[in-house]
Parts: sequence; C-alpha cells; structure tokens
Amino acid sequence: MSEPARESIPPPRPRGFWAEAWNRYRRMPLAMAALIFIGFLAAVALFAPAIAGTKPVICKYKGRLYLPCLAYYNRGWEPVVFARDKFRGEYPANLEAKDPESWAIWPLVFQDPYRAVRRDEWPGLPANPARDQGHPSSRNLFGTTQTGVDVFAKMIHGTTVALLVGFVSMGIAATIGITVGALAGYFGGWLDVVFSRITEVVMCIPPLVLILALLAIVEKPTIWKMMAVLGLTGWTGISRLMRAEFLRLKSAEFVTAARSVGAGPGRIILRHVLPNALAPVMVPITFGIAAAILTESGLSFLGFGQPPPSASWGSLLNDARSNLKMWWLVAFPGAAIFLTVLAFNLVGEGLQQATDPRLREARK
Amino acid sequence: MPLLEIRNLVTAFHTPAGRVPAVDGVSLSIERGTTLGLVGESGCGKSVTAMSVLGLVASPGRIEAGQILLDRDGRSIDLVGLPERQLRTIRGGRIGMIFQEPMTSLNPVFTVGNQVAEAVRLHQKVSRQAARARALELLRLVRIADPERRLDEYPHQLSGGMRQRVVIAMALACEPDLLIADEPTTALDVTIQAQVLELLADLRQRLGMAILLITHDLGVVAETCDEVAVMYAGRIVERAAAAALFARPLHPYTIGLLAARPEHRRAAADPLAAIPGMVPQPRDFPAGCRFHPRCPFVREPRCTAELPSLRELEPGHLVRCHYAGDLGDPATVPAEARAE
Repeated sequence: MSEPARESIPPPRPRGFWAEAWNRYRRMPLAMAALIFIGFLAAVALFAPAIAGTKPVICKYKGRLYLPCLAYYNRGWEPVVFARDKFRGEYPANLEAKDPESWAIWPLVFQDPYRAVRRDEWPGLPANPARDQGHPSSRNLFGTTQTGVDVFAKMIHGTTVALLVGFVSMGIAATIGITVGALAGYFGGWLDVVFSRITEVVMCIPPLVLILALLAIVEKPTIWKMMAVLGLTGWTGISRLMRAEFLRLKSAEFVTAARSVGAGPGRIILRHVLPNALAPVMVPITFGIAAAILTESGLSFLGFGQPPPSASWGSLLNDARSNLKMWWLVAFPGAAIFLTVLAFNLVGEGLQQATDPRLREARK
Repeated sequence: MPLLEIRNLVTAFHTPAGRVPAVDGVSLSIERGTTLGLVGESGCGKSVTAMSVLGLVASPGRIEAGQILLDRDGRSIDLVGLPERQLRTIRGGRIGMIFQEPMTSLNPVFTVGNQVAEAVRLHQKVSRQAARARALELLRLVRIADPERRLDEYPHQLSGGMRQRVVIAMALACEPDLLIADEPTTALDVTIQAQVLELLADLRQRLGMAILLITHDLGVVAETCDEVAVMYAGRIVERAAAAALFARPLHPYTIGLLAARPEHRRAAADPLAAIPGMVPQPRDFPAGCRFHPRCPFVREPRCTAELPSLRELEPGHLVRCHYAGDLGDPATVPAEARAE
C-alpha cells in the first residue's frame, strides 16, 4: 500500500544474522572441510571407548546388562561387580570363565590406551611388541610405545583429552571474558576502571609459567586443573573485545529505543547488545581453542602434563624423545596436533570472514 | 491539569572542559490529546529536553534542577528523581518515544514481530501468543502492508518508512498518553514524510494521546501542531498557539526562522533568507540575551547585559525578549555576526 514498488517483488525468505553468516560460511570449501574434520574429531572423542579399548562396550553378566566401557570416561563409573568378582581389568577371559552365559559387544580395536595388551588376553592375540620393535602393523595400526602400549588406542583416547582441554578451557575463558567485558563496557564508570585494571593484570601473567608453578604446588595435577588455569588466564582478549563492542553498541539508537520502551539493564545487555556483540568474539574463542590444545600438548611433551598413564598426544611425543628411531611416535601424534590446530584456525578464519560486517555490506 | 508539565528544567553535561548546560531552565506544558511542536536549530537542546523527560540522558549528562510532572490518573508525579525501576514503567507504558533514524533504531538481529512483542510484554503480563497477536494488531494500526509477513522479517528487509512505522508501533505498544517524536521524519524522503505525519495525526485522534513533536522543520509544525515552543541556546524563547505564532511571531529569532523558509520567498530565484551567524556553543553562551549577537534588532546596552524573562505579551503568547512587540527597525546586519 505504502510502497507499491516493493510489494510486487516476492521477498526473500527472512534470515537472521547467523543464518546469513552460515550461508556465507558454507561457500568456503576450506573452512567447511575444517569444520567437518572437527566434527569427525568430536565424534571420535565422544565414542573413543567404543573405538579402542579392552573393556566391553556393553555386556550381559550374571543376568544383568553393564557398560564397562564407561570406565574410560571416569574410573568410578566402572560397574562395581567386576571389581568384586576380581576381573582385574581383564574382561574377555574372565567373562567366559565366571559366567558362560555372558555375552559382550567389544570395541572395534582391542587395544588399551593405558597399558600393553598381554599375550592371549584376547584369544589368539599376541602380546604387544615394545621398544623399537613396535612398528606400525596390522595389529598395531600406528605402532606401539616404549612399553608396548598401542599408539592408535592412545591417540583415539587422546582426542578426548585434546578437545576437552580446548573446549572446557575456552568455555571458562569465554564465560569470564564475556561477563567481565559486557559489564565493564555497559556500565562504565568505576566498574569499568576496576575490571579493566584486573584484565590488564591478568594479561601480564604468562599462563605457561603459572601452570608450571601450579603443577609444582598441587599434589595431583590433572587435566582439569590445567584447563582451569588455561581458562582463568585466557579470557583477557575476549573481555577487551567484548568491552569495545559494548561501548560501541550501548549508545546505538536501537539500545536507546529499547530503553525508551522500558527495558531494564539486564534485558538490554542479554537481549539487545550481546547477540550483536557475539560475532566478533567467536573468532578469538575459536583461535583460543587451538591455542589451548597446543599448550596442553606442549606441557605434556615437556612432561608437565597429566601424570602417566595419560593418553595425551603430547605425552606420546614425549615418549619419542628417548628413542628417535621410533618415528611413528612423532609422526602420528604430531600430525594429529597439527591437523587439529590447523582445523580450528581455519574455522576461526572462516567465521571471521562470514561475520565480517564489511563483507556483509559488500554483498547487499 | 496538563498531561505533562516541565518546570525550569536544567540538564547539564559535565565534560572535562567544564559544565555544559544544554537545557537551561525550560518550561513547557502539554495538554491531553494535543500536539506541541518543539522547534529550534540543531544543538539548541530539543533532544536533550526529550531525553530528560524519559530519564534517558546519557552520562555525563544530568538533570540538575526542575520538575517534570506527569499526570497519572489524576495524580501528578515528578519524573525527576524517580527511581529507575519506576521510570521503566513510565517508559513505554505512559510515554512512548520514536527516533530520528529508523535505520538504526531497530535491533538488527531480531525480527520485527519479536521487537514489537517485546515492547508489549515489558508492560503487560501476557503470553507469547497474545503478545504476537498484539504486535500484529499494532503493525496493522500503523498501516504496514501485509503485516502477517512483515512480522517475521528482519529490520534490514524493510524500507526506511516501514521501519519508522515499526518504531511507532513499538512506542504505541501500551497505548501511551504521550508520544515523544524526536525528528521522526528528518531521515525520510518527502513523500514518506507526509505519510508518517499523517499517520501520527491519525493515531493521535484515534488513541487520544498527546504528541511532543521535536523538529526543525517549520512546515511540519504548521501542519500538525496545536502549540509551538521555539528553543534557542537551551532556552524557550517563544511559546504560543501555532496559529498565533505563524500569524504574528514576536521574538526576533522566530521572525528570522519564519523568514528563512524557502516558501517565504516571493520568487524561486530570490536568495534564501538566513539568520547570520551560528548557534553559540553551550560552553560560551553570550551574556544578556543569548540571541543578541545574531539579532538584527539588538539594542545596547540592555540586550547585551540583561537576560530577558519569558513574559506573556498576549494571552497565551509568551516571549523572551526585552523589546518584543516594539522591535523598531532592524540594523542591516548585527555587528558581531558580521565579524564572522
């Protein structure tokens, strides 16, 4: 009625900001490949105990169903009955011996990430070779370590560690960074002064040194403590970006408009400013995940990681240090670290391009 | 009792360079169902006055003195010093506001329906469905074509005129008693301008609300306003019924503004009349009458030394000038303006 010229053209389907960004992201083959690779890694990480392990994924024992593979996620989740019946971690023979009626579904590869498989643990399977005898073979796809632990199994379970470190530490960092940046930027005044100074102080703390100090103090260094340190020190960049976005957006006319219809500060921050400010921080968060994975690998390589037995990619590299003839201890974990970090960086770059406002304008 | 009465409002900004009184003792009143035009050049304090009413003056600005009395169901409440929580129920609930830039006054990441529905839900406890239905009704009220479809569109898919209609719909969500329109048509092209003004006039009649129309366009004022207040350098210099003001402007500034309208020329080839000089910066307002450096009727020493008061020269016609009604002959060009 008011704009007849516009009415005649059938309008495109309404699209939100993220739908538009996704549309642009989809057209970048490299970034898409990286995203698919990360999806693949995530699947591997999630189903690691079903891919490689020595505990049944699911088994029926004495008339009940159990999921012994959960032990790989958390030791405490291993059904108590197996400890009571003195399985000592050896399932195939024990299941057979103690309950002939039992059945089990086994992981794809019968190899353990934390110990060498003994002879005949699995019917007909020889003991893992150790030292430089452990070349990659059909039984040990990526070879074995000094002590005969299967590298393939270690790497599968290492994926869980790597992604967990990346996502959890950056999750912590993003939560702190977004909160601090948003509050400082939106409210300004003394809150901004205090938060900005805290940010600067934290920025001066080198995370690696802090982690080394922490590991020296605590009795049982776990990856969780490492993630906490990485998260608690890695939020400064995010917070500063967030603050800048909030400073820019809080005086935007649509924010004033929202206030003029009676919206309170909480609603304005969460609903009006945050969704508009989120795109720029997605990029450093993605890069941060890559950096956290790299830091964890580095620490494990230096021997400051999770205490053995651990399944970190970095600890495999550490194993290779003592015997460089075992090239498979360098090549496979190295490639895994390289590809994972590369993939996250490519995704970050893709996000940057997909959400860049200048490129968005150019397309209009 | 008028719907809104502003008494001696002083809003100042505290900048590192010193105190800047953008609004300096403004008094206004708006009756229910009428339109008051607030006119003046850029930087004279019109928008700050509007923002003060809603308590939205951004730091480092602060209301330093005065009262803003709003009639709420027969009881008058002072919006100055009202706690933020209560102010929020006023914003959008009793007083709606629309802005100059329809391109930026909608949140780009939410659909139009979402934003209008939010304005509804901020003040009324209704379900999502009910709010959406109300949003649809509002889009219809502001005469957006095909409102069912527009409801699910994003702001960037709408034209400027349509966005301004959406902003109006948001402001009207809870049927406010007063609508503050801060240059609602400045960013729109002329045909859309006329449509939006017509819409506002129609809505005023249908909903019985009052409008505070802030503009620098005297043509808009002539068409829509019942009363006019002319602002200059943070002060009201003339206040009258629109007809009286256009028929017989009393303040030299108003006379100059009216003479500067393009349609005031006898022939299109004539040069545009202009008021010489610039609006002074609030930091260095001149002593005496603030308009005296640009006034063609300036008379020493009273104009340069003594601040004129706002006096009622004719019934309902207030003017802030020592010599209003008896201006004498204009000097060709005022001395200080010539120096620029």
